[in-house]
Amino acid sequence: MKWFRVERFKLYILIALVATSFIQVGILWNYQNEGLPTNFLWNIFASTNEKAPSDVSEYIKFFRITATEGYDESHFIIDENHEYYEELCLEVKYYLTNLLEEKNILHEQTYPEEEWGKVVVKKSFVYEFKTKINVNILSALLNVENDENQPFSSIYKIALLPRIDSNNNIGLYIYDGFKTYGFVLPFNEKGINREKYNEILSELEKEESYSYVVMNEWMGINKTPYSIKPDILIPRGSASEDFEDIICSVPKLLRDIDTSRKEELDEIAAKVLGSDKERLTWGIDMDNSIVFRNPSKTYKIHQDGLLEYKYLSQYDGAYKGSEIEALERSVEFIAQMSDLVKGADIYLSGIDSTKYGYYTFTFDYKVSQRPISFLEYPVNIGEEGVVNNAITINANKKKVLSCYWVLKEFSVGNSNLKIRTYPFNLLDDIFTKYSHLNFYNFSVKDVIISYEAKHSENEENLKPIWLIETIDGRKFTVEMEERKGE
Amino acid sequence: MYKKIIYIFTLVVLIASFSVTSFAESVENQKLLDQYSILTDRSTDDTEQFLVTITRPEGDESTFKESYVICGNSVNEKISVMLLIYDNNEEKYIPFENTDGDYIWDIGASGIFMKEVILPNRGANDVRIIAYKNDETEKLLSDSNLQINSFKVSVLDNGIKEAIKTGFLKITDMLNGLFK
Repeated sequence: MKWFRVERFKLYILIALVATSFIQVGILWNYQNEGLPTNFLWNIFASTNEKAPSDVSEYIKFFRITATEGYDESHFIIDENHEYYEELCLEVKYYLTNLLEEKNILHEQTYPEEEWGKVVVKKSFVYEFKTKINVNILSALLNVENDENQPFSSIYKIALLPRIDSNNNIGLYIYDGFKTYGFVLPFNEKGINREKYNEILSELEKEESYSYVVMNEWMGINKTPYSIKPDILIPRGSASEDFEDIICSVPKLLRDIDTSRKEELDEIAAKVLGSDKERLTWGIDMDNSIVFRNPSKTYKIHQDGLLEYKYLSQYDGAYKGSEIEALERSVEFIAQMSDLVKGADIYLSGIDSTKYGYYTFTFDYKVSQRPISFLEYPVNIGEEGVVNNAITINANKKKVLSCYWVLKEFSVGNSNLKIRTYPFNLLDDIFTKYSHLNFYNFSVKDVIISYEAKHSENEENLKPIWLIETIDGRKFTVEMEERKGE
Repeated sequence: MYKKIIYIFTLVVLIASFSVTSFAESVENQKLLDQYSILTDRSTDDTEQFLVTITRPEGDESTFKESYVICGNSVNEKISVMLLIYDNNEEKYIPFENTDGDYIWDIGASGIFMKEVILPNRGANDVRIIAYKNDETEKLLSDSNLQINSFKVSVLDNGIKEAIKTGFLKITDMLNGLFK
């Protein structure tokens, strides 16, 4: 009898061991060599509220909405505070939803890229993303079933032409960076009608805001010695614009930290790591940067506000997943720490889906609706020596694999800058500044006015610059002239 | 006292030297116009655009704005562009300064030029764009190292624009009514 009890006891122990081994396998599967079973148990009991809310749509916004009466007329930028901004966004979403669901399409035609240059100089409202957005991502954002029959796989820019014909129809044009796709749909019965579009345009003209012109309207399509994309907007005439005095600094929490005080490090750990906090050790590196690490990941925060994150374990290339899945992981990562960035909006500025096993997403800041550029910003760990965006994230459908994030706080000073937005010497200035450029290695994909933020541990007043992006992704800058005493 | 005099003297010399350069340039430009009467003569025939491609104006054009931007480009080196406008009183083309105050400029390294002018006349403005090789000014020959192109840029009254707009709207309204 005693022997029987001992055997039963052994059986129970064996069952318990088998069960815990399954749990351990599960944990390893889930965390990929990350910690002991206690971490797993902590997660079970951890409050679900700690999971950062992540809404991808908050980061995919129109970079710019413009409107024009037509050829030789001014182009106006409709800013986010404009009374019609939200209404115009709702309108384009309505027509995009119809398009993706293939509803109410009366006519469609595919054109070469040059057609986009003709579209944007007609009476139009043009909506631009900073990067091409995959149709699957847009379908998910618009909550529509994508039947994948569209002739395009991504959308870069959209134009609404309220005067496409004399019937009650509107023209919807899609530009994917290579081709132009034209569609004719009936006007949204509950939305903005043709007369209202005219009214908006008339009001924009009356507002006397800064006006722009499409470069190719002056240069002609395909007539320049090098390629210039068909819709580059530049200020019209020898104008000046008022710019806010934007001040950029390292987030206060990082700037004022006393690294010898555990409570202060604890506070940063809570902000940066969220629920990961308990599983990581932290310390101060030789260069005075704060480091959080465990066997599978490391976070390093430098004194200039640069956060470098790296997942150290092997990752499976099969987990690349779809763009939207990887984007969601990236946005979750950003949302967890976005409190550290103050005074700026974060927007998706680039997607690279060509890498094996992961996607690269870049995000940038906008302050007072003006983009902020980080060019050739030095980073320490990983293969890259420099980054060109505020946030660069590599992610697959499971997790974020690495991230460089220039954490900054922004505020607006009291004084305004009057900047000469004289565009006529711009191209000569670039060729003079970058003497290696010639007709064969130069092109223009985009010209924007941006504030330039440089590598600094100190507070700095940012200056507006011309930022020229070539078709192959190189960026060149030209300083803008400040007009003092006006 | 001597120091003050030296400062003032230096200042005067500097101003004079700058003025002399500017004056010399101006004289050189005027010399070119005097030397080649075909530049200012209305009867001069247009040439092909073999040195500079003029992208604006593209033929005779109309605009509603007095501010107008003249554009072109060239893949050739050492090219200067001269801008003239026809003067009815003098019965010839005369220099037409852009908003930078120049009527002659060199095409820069980018190969592209954009120059803003204020069109002086409501109605037609007879503009001439001349391009030439600036290291061969001693002997400029039409169609060889000298390009001459004339354009009419008309400034239309804004009333016409409104009339076109409202006219179009009336027509579209009428058509909408018909096909409803």
